[in-house]
Order: sequence, then structure tokens, then C-alpha cells
Amino acid sequence: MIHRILEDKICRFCLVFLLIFTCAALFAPWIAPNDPNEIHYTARFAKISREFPLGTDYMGRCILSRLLHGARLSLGSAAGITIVSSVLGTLLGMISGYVGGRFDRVLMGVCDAVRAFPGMVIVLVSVGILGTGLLSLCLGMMAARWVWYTKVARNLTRAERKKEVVLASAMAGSSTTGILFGLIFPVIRIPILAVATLQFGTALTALAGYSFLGFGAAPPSPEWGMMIQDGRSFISTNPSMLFWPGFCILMVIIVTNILGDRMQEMFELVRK
Amino acid sequence: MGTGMRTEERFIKCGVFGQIKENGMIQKPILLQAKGISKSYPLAGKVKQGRIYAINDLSLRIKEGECRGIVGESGCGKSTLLRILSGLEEPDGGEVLYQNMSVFAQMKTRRNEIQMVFQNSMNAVNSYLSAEAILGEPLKNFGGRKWEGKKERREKAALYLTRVGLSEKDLDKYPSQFSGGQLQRICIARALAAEPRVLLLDEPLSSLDVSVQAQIIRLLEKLGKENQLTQVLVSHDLEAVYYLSDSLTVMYGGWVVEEIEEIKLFDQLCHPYTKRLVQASKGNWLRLNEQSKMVYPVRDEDNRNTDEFETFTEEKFCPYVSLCPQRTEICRIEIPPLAELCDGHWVRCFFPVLPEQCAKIRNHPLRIEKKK
Repeated sequence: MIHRILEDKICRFCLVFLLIFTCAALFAPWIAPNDPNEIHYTARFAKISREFPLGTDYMGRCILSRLLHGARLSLGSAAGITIVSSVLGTLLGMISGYVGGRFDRVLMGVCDAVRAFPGMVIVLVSVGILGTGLLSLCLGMMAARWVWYTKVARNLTRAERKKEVVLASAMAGSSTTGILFGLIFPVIRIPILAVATLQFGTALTALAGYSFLGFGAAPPSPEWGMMIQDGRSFISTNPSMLFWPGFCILMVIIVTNILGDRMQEMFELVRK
Repeated sequence: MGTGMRTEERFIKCGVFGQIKENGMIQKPILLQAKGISKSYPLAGKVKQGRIYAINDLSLRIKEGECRGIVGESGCGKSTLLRILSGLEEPDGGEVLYQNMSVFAQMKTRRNEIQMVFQNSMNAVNSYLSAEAILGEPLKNFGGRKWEGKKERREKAALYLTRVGLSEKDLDKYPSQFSGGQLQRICIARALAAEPRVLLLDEPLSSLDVSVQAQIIRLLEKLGKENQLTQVLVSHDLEAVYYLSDSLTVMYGGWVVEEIEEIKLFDQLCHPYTKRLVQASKGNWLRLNEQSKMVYPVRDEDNRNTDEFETFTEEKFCPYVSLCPQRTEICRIEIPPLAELCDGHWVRCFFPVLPEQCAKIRNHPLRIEKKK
């Protein structure tokens, strides 16, 4: 299945695109031309130049450097949220689907309860209790998001668990853990990956949105949502401040959505 | 259950045929026993939830070392029965005893003693594993320290492969590189690698061609003779079951309709459904269609209205009533009990088609009693 995703042209394009963004984020300190927080009063709202490849903002900070460093925060947080919630949700879902019974019913009830609240309410509660900051924001978003993986993993596991290959493995004395990770996880990982890819995009938007509203990173840090918030005041005079972070967010979301949809489609094809 | 009493109690010993067996033979101990088990599954529909009865009030006694054949048409509950016997599923009512203790509780510690070969071997193996890994699974899990080393395990796996008629070279092949029959043998080898005492075989011959069927039959026969393996063979192939089994159970619609404890009573099978099954396997149901000059199956039963009766419910009537040529009013209002016709021959029918060789049986008391 993985090699099929790599063979697909669209998927490959999306993956290369994401890889470039990831590399840019990882190597930001080395590729960024300037310090992201260094203020150049003499060069406020500078045009594109050799020194400032994408110009500067209202405090004369290099936009490209801020974007690169911001990618670490934005993409990193979104990835962190996605990874933690997907691992936790998938594990719980697999156990729930395989064990069934009362545990399954209780967990599904909890999932439905969590899903009944809008994600924003949970985030606001988390930020309200833990105080504003990127970490409490991330924790709140994780708390709201694991349920999606749990549902998907649980339903797929339930479909798998009655299959003869699973029964035969139980007959041959394999432990529940062995069956879950040896037989069931390889089947459900692609749909889970597809959900995770789609969720990564929404996590990025939501993160930018919350930062824009002031729940997230503290002001000097170059988080993309914060950059949009900064640029908002200068939308008519200096739109490039707003354009570049917005463009980056848009591109990442488009790419992850296409990738996620494509993977889901491929999984459906395999199942048929 | 709707029938009120458990089958155990309703094993009726009737009249002169009801003597306790004292034919001088030492009775083998009962290894696996089902006591009045039933299993139902919920049907679709949320307001009024109906249930489909896969197994109704079923009792079985499987002796050590014997091969019990179970025949019946598709969907009569055979596979469900095997899953329950193997301890993979729990019955809704009744219990399954293995060596006089509940099988479900024991299977956590003695999983290797009851093994099962699944119907579709292609679905029963992980297609990403080589034959060595497939056979290694039970060896690793049940063998304890003995087969810890990879080399020893490979040797042992090769031994089991040769026992089922494959060679050591096949160890490195993947399931997709085997034919259906070879894969079936791999599955049998995997079950054997657990060193079981009871082997449950779910339609081991159904997807194979005739020559491979013969090979598998010979293999099973050999295993039964050499290892004293207790086998439960579920099949709809009467000939194979006749050849392999020591005793036979016929199921219809989740009920046991007939049971013989020794295969030599095969000629005396007398339930209307069994009759039809035997005839069908002989090919008698094919009649020449005069108009089209084609061989075309015609059965009188096909013209009967089958919607009138619904099997698989808790309703009280004979499970076979809708298709039975011998039915009368009594069949529609009561479930016939499983009665012993003569030694080791049980029938669930008010009016069995009595075999002519056995004149004594004509005194089947149920028939006389019910006709009054």
C-alpha cells in the first residue's frame, strides 16, 4: 500500500512539496537570511531586495526569516497535535474495537460526548485553565481531536476482528497485542494515515486561527497565525505582510487535503 | 429456549430399543461435549429486534479418537457450531465441555489442544508471511522454550510440512505462491504444529478439485489413524464424510435432525432431509427434462410454498416442515424430540422414512403414539 502511494504521481508531488516545507522548517536557523526577531527601524516595509528576499514588516523584521522560523512553530505544533492525537486515538480505538463489550460502549459514549462539543469550546477551556500559550493550545486541540481516530480505528478493527486470519492467529496462540499490531494495524494504518493527513491541514488552520485571536504563541514569536494578525492592520497599505503567511498556510492545506483524499480513494479501491 | 426442556433430558429411551449399550466394547471416554447449546445473532431493525437462531438446543458427544462428521446444507449452523466448539465464541445458552470442564475458560491456558482448520484457507493465512513464519507461529507460542531458536523452529516446521506432503523447499514461499490445496495443507500443518488433541475441520474439501480432495482425505485419514487425533469434520460432501467419519450428525436449520454413533448405520439414515441429502449426493435428483433435452434438476419440494414457514425462529414447529414430503399437522405445532430409534441412532422426526432392513424399527413408538 505504501509503495502504491509513492507510485502515484499526485501523491508523490504532494509528498515532495511537504518535504520541502519540512526541510525549510528544520533547517530554518541555517537558511534564514536574517534573525527573525531583529528589528531594522531604518528598513520598515522594505521592498523585496537581496537583503530581505520577501521584504520586511512594520518593525523592519525580515518576512522570509520569520516565515521559516514560523514554519517550525506552526508545522511543528500541527504535526505534534496530529501525531499525539492519532497515536492515542488509534490505540484506544483498536483496543476498543477488538475487546468490545462494556469498555467499547463506554469509550464510544465518551467519544460521542467529546464530539458533541465544538472543538473551539474544548480549546477555550484548556486555555482558560492552563493560561494562554502554544502548549495549552496544543493540549486543548489534542483533547478535541483524538476521538476522530478512535472512531475510525475502532470501526475498522471491528471489521477485521471476525476475519478468519485473525481467528486463525488466535488459534495459533498469538497474544492480543500480537494480533493487534501484527494483523490489524497493517490493514488500518492507511485509512488512519489519510485521516491524519487531512487533520494535519485543519490543525494548521485552527492553530493559525487561535493564534490570530491571541490564544496561541506570545507576540514576538513568528507563528504564522500571529504574522497574519500583525499584517491585518496593514492590509491596504502593505498586503505582502499578510500575503506570505496566508499563502504558506493555504499551500500546506491544499497539499495535505489532496494527499489525504487521494490516500482515502486508494484505500477504497483496494477494499473493492 | 422455546422447547422448554433441554435436549439432554429429551434423549428419549424408548421401549425395547432403549437398553443401555452393553455390547462388550469398551466405550471410549467423551472428550468434547456440547450440552444444549444455542446461539443467535441479532437481525437488522432497531424497533423490534428479531434474532436469527444459528444453533438451537444442540447436544453432541465426541469421543476420544473418533472422527465425527457433521453434514448439512449451507447456513445450517455448522461453522458456528465449530467456532463454539473451539472456544472462539461463547454460546448464548448451554455449555461446551472439554474433558468435563468449560471449554471457553480453558482455552486461555490450553489453546493448543483444540485446533481448527478454517473453511477458506486463502483467508486464514496472513499473506505477508512465508510458510515458515505461518508454521512458526504456533511453534513459538505453544512450544515454550523448546522451539526458541530459529534454526530448531525451521527444522520442526519442515517436519510438519513433510507430514502433510509438502517439501522443505516450500518453507520460503508466500501464500500466494501456493495452490489452494497446498495452502489447505499448510493450514492443516499449522493446526498440527500446535500438537492438538482435537482437530476441527471446517469444510476442508469445499474449494478443492477432486484429485486434491482425495489427497486431503488420505491425509486426514492418516492423521486419524496414526495420531489418534479426535476430529470433527464439517462438510456437505456426504461421500467424504462417510469415508472418513466414525459417527455422523446431520443438521438442518440449526437443529440436529439425525445422529448415528457408528457409521455402519449409514444405510439406516431415515430422516426425510437426510434421505434427500443422500439421494442428492447419489445424483438421483437429476431428471431428464423431456422438452429441452437437458439435464435439469426438478424436485417436488421446489413447488411448495416455503414462505409459509420460517425456520431459524423460536417458533415451535419442525425445522424441516416446509420442505418435508411426510409432514402432517403435528409437524406444524410441535418440534419433534430427538428420539433414539435403535442403539446409537437418533432422529428428530415424527414420521421418519423407516429403513426396510431394520424391521424392529417399525415399532417406533412416537409414530404410533402421535398418530392417535
